[in-house]
Amino acid sequence: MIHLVDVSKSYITERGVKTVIHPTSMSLPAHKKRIAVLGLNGAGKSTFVRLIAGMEEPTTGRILKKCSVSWPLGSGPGVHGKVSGIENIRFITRIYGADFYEAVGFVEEFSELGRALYDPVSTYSAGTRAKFIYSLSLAIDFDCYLLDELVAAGDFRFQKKSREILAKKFDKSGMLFVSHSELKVRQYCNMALVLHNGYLVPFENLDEATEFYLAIKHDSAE
Amino acid sequence: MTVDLNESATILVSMPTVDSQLLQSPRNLLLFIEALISKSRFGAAEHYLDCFGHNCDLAPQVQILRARILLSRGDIEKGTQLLVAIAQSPAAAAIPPDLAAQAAARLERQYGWSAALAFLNKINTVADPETALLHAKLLALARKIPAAVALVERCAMRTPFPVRARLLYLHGRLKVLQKDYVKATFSMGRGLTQLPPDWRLYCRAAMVAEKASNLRAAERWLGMAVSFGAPPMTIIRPMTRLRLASGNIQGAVQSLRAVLSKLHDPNVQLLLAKCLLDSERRPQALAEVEDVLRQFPDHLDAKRMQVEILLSAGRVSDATFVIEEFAERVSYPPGKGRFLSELQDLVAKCEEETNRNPAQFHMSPLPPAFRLSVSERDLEFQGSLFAPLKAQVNIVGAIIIRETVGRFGETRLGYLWAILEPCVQIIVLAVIYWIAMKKIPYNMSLGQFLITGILSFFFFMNTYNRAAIAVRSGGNLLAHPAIKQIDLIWSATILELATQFGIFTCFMVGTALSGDPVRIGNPLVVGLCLILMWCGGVGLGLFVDAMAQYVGWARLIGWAVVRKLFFASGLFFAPEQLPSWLEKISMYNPLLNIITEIRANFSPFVHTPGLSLSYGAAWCLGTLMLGFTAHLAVRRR
Repeated sequence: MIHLVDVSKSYITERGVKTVIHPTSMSLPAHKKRIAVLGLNGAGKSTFVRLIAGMEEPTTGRILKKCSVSWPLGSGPGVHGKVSGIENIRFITRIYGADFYEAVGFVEEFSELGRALYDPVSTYSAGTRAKFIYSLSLAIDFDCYLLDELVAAGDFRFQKKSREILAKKFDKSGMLFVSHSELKVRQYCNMALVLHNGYLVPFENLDEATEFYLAIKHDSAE
Repeated sequence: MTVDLNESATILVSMPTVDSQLLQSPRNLLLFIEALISKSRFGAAEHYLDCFGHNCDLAPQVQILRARILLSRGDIEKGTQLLVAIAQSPAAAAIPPDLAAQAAARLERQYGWSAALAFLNKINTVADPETALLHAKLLALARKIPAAVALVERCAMRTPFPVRARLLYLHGRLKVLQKDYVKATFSMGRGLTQLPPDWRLYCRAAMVAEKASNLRAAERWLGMAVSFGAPPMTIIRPMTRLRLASGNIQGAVQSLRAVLSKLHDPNVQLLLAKCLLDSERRPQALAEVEDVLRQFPDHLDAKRMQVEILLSAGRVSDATFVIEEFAERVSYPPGKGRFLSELQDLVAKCEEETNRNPAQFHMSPLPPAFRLSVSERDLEFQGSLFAPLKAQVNIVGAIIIRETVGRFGETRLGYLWAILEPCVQIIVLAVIYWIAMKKIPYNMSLGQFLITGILSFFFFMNTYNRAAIAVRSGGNLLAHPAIKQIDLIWSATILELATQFGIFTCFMVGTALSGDPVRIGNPLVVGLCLILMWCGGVGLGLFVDAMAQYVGWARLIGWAVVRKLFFASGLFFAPEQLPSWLEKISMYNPLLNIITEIRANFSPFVHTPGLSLSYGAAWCLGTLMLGFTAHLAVRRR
């Protein structure tokens, strides 16, 4: 479970205080539940995920995480370009207390990088780098994965592999998936949060959530 | 040729008989008469005026002098009539502005402003600011604003301060009539600087500045009006409005709270509640309104606001209950029915919105799966103190190892470069020092003197650089839920401490191996001093980083201070080498105190009374605390 206790987030801008999330108290059922975070452009979905990930502190309140939460998948945080892929894996496993050799084995097999893992990450091509980062993100088991728009990376074959492995992961883990795409949300999620005007509106029923989301989308288009 | 009337009057009037030769010239005679009037010798003046007769060339001047005598004697009516008569003639321009002002004031009282204006229109009033002010005001009354503005502008150009301030303020007010609020604000602002302090002037100027959208000036002038004794109740509404308009809701709340601490007024309290509601602080707003309702249970505005707050929080049933309770309990006021129907409309509108507008869904209860299920026990700290400490040490260690590999492990010479970089700096400075100074203080070797100064300062400077950018440069690592900002700070600064200790040790060993014997008095004190330098660097770096969240140039100021300290902390000199006055000032530099203490452990000849390690230590530890406090304060931004 991830508990939001009176959590709000606002930023001080030149035009005054901009509230991205109004004070909210709720629990997110992270275990084996796949929750979509829907919202219009600029509604604050990514900010919400950053708050959950701990990248940003809430302005008020606390976020209590009673489960292990991943970093936003595919964003490659902490991947140091000057050091090798192996050193990056060592760093990640060290901070999460995971088994290094198991993680190296997974990344080597899944990303198919081979000897390139021993080269500095800055020497990787864009595609290879994306594969490495994505593999690294899945190398450690979490109770809840955070996905910000990205579900798969790399070429078509790698994307297929990524979807398969994600499906396996979601048998035993939860997910918080930020997206604009109603189709993707229907494919992966079974619950939803809609972020609108700084309010998080939770839905247990995905159909109700998408209907609500389409209504606000329609309102904003008018 | 200028004639001093006082002087000539003193001379002439003191004469027993006036020299007839002197007065043969009519102009001299006029001057003499003016002197007599200025000495209040009106009888003598009239006597000499009679000498002129009626048909001489100087008849208008003679009439003007007669009018002056009449006005000076207090016979305002006759004097004014005489001046009006002169004003009808071609000699009107000769009427002095001060006389014109007296006559105009009289005419205004007796016949109204149009008579005074008709009179002044014939006079050249630009010469006298007081008359010009009166003339401009009368022109404004006659709605001849452009003429009034032109007159004031011409007069202001030739009038020095502080009199010009009154003209500028009037110019501002005239510009307001022309609806040119920007120029009005500018003129009033210039005028206010020299006018005697009067809160009314400042209030008026603030209102104009607000219309010109110059909210900052308006707020400043209202603040000054308060300091010049404006009653708080007069100021509070415009001040609150201004602060709300400029988005400074916190400021508006503060000013309202300040007024409420002195004066308890339900209307001010409701205004405060409105501000709190605007800043999304509903519970506080509701508390303020309920406080008003406790004292005045039937306060209609308070009741309305209570309903509004409840509705905005989605508590529709509570709002309905409040309205029903009010309807049952209160049999008055006269317009009760209308008031109640207004409130019920509000509730109905809100219910309708909730049903219609998806944006109001947040007011509906949470689905069971999302209901907050955290207990009080979960919110309290649980587990041992050592488990999070161990986890943090683990994380900091992991980041340090990663940074070490990334920073020095890129090339094979990476670690060597960490030593070579300060080595090159020291060699260059040593050459310059050797050429310029020749004599090394404290009987130390040149190498030891520079190493103890420069490398010790690097503990401060390099740590400052690391601490100031630690969070920014490691920002992407914060995506890992396990890593906190403080971990980035510790890892960056501890790595720097270890690096600098390594460099310092290498240099000392190198110096000893080169044949220059190194004798350290108390290695523990030297270590403590170096750690203090590190603490100062961490503290200052964090403080500057925190300030930079508010003001972008804080980093530039921080860097400038560190550069100044590089030259002022005794890296290249001993305090005794300075002139005595400069030596006294340099004693206040905490880094100089610490560096001299380090040198005292390398040379027995260091003796600088007045320098104290405890002063330097207090500064460094104080800065460290200040830095961490500032970091914690801005962490949530």
